[in-house]
Amino acid sequence: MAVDDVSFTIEPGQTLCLVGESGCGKSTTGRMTAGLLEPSQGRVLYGDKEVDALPDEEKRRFRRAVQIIHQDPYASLNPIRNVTQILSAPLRRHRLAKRRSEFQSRLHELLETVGLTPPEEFLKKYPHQLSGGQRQRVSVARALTVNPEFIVADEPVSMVDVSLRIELLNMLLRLQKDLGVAFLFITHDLAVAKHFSWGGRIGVMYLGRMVELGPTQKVVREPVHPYTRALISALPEADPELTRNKERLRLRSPDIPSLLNLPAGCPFHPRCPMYEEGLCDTDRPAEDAVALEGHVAACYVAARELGQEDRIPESSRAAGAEAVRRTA
Amino acid sequence: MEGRDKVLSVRDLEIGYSTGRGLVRAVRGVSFDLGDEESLAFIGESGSGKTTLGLSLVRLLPQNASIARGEIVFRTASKEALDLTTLDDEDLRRFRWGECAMVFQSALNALNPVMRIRDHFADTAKDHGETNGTLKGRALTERATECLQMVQLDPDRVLGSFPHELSGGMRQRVMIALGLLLNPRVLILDEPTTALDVLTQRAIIEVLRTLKDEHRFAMIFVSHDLSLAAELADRVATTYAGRIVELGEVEQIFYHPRHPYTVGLLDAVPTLAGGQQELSSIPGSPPDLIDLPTGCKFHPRCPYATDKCREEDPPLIEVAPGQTAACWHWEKVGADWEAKGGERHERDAHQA
Amino acid sequence: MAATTGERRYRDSAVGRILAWFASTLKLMARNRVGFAGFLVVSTIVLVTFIGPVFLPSEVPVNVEEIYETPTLSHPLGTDSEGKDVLLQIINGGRPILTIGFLAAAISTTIAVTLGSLGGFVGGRVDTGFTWLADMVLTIPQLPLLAVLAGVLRLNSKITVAALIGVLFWPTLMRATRAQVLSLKERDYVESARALGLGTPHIVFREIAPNMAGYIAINFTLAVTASMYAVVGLTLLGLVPLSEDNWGVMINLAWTRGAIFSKDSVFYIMSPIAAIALFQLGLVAMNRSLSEIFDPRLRRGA
Repeated sequence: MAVDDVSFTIEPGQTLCLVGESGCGKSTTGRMTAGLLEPSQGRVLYGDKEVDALPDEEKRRFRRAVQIIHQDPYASLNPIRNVTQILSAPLRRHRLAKRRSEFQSRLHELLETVGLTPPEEFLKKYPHQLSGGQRQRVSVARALTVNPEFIVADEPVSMVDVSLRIELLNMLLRLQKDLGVAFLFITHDLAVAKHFSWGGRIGVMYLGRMVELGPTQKVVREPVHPYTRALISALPEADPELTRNKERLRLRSPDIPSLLNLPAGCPFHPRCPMYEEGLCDTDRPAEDAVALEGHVAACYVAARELGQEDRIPESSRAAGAEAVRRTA
Repeated sequence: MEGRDKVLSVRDLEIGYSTGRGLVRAVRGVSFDLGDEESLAFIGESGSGKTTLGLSLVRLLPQNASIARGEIVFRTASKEALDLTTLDDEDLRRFRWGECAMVFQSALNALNPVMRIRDHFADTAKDHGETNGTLKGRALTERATECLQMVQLDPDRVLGSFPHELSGGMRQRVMIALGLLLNPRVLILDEPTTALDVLTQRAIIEVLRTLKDEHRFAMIFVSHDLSLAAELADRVATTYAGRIVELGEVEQIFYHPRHPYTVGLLDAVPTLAGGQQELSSIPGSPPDLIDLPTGCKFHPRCPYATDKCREEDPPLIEVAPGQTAACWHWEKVGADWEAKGGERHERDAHQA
Repeated sequence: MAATTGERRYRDSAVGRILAWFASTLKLMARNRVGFAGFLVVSTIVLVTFIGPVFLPSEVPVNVEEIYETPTLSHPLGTDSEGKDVLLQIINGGRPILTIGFLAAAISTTIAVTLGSLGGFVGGRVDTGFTWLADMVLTIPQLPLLAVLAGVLRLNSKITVAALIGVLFWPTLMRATRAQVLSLKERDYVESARALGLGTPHIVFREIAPNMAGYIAINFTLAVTASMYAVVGLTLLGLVPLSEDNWGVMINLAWTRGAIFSKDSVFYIMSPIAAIALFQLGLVAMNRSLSEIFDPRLRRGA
């Protein structure tokens, strides 16, 4: 089960960052959202209709409305096609341009939107003649050819030089502002997520589940779930005094359980510094075990600490109380 | 650095690769010293030459690379000075791992997939052991166990495993343990935390910090990750287009940078602490190492560039005690930074 | 680099572009010395065997006086058991073999690439069906089958022979193509093409297949060599009617007429063998250049 019971909604023009480590299922979630992977269970809704059940015409519209940008600039473009061919194919296929002049002006417009200027310089280039950052921009331009409403960006800057990342991110933010494109931004880097999604939301995933979801500023400054707190405390910062004196959350065990053999109850409990016997290993916490305003987290210990015990199921509460009694 | 013994001295090192397209000047005149308990971080991006530099210190450069000029002088425990550029193969073999070891990135193909971890240790000992009694048998197992414990791995579990049975973080720690096997005086680590998950990175950083604090050998980190330098380095060298463009103590580099590239890097890295930040990229892209621009190699991307920068490549100029920067306009860079940078540091610290 | 309007029109016209393609191809071939040598050998043999016979008598004169002569100026490769000049026969005898070779290779490559690509990309039952078909054809012993079919059909036209060989030789390339497609299917740019709604035919034939072009080209030349061997083998076994002189017939006749037993007639039996071997060698050498041609990274001189 790469992804298990994940739910979220994205409004037009909004940003949601999916953050997590490798194997947490964020990429898989991204692909299902983009309609490129069939969910084994559950539904992907576009508007308020299920994607699978859409009539052909609307399905085509969905297909164009949702695009994807990949992580690896060296694999995201077909090496035997030049920029013109790469960008023209979708225009031609969807009849978005007819005359040669229309093609030309649209290509120029796209290249300028993604910051590849002067456009003439790039039209005839092949991918291997472009740098990693430039390839990513072509990737974005390609996604924009069909005027999407929503882009799934799968680690788009992780393989780009540090000094060039901000430019790319700012370009994507401009797209959001000017064209109203919504984003599902997948990354393992919380600092990048914070920067990109400052006005949006962050969802933290662990072993296929969404353990916390809420506005970026809340999640980063007042994290609820212990895993989120562990991530935040573990991140090294580019500031010696800050990072050397930062308090680190110690995990109980370095081992990451395999997806095939998840423990009972909360999947994070073997490593969780706040683990409580009985409470944490009986029932799996629901995504909204803690429900603050617009901010949810899947942790019973946190629920109790925030005065939301009534959201903890009876079985877990009883098991927890039993364990406390036994050790007393 | 004062009063410390130097374990490594590099002067005017130049290394080139011959390729189909021409000579790639990967390292163009690098000089530095390494104290015998010091951690030095080389921070740079693609095309900075930092990996080539690291490989050259153990003479593990690929076939088409050659050291054009310069010297690498290593001072052994017995105060003997070895010029690595002139060592013959036999001495080089003993030097590697015995005096100076390299830890590569933990990619799956860094370890032999058909050999168990204990065999990796045996191999390393055999290849680089002393001529008078290679480490083997019981002594080898004891030493290997010791090294694995130093990196917080369970020897019983790890020694008998194959590489693919270990996670990325465990493999990286095995690589470090292999480096420590023969008690080197210098450890060179190439991107030790790249491609690892955040929590695993943290574990590796803590391991390296423990090694640094308890075992006191010299370390050189080669990375593109500024935060790694912030965590572990005593001194930092930022590299660009094959040269060191700024060198200084870690606080000097992070809080009082004087080279525009260093400033650019600091401005480009988002931090988790603090509020929304003013971040910016460095315009343009890294230079082609075959066809470098004239004068200062950073000038095409530099907001301070003047005609002098286009004509003359600046040497490393002393900008503060223990800090050098290769920029004609370092004073202006410094003034601008102190004006806005000082503010930012305080604001972030308050919101941490 | 500004060209005049006239020049530009010429350059952009179809003819201009074909010539430009030729020129850059030749330049690319020349990059790899072995490849270029192979290319020259192949082109020479093709030219000589296809155009040569136009200028030469189609009936090689019989001269009983000069049986099994060793090479002289008037007979550079000696003569055969009927006094016929060997060199003339070599020049005349290449075309049928080469034609069948290329035709059979074209047929088998087309079948293999089509079935392999569609099966690999579409997957499911289509893929299983095609793979099963390939396995069936592979398990059939080819030479006995050819022998049986030779008895049943009338192999009197080059096309029939080529078709026969082509239809039996495609399974191996089909599997290799399928494996490539399976791997290419997972590439990010293919996923992007799906996201953009570009459609299966476009993806298979315009995104995936061109990335295999080099691989297919190389396998094509190897298929030519295999088909040539098959034809010569069939001729040697007498399964193909000996209605015209070709290299295979020459070897057959040399064999049956005892040319191997005489020192003087060694040129008669070795010449066709050498011709075939030389051509094969040229093709294989040319492969080195072919792999460079199909990679735009090298073509554009980056």
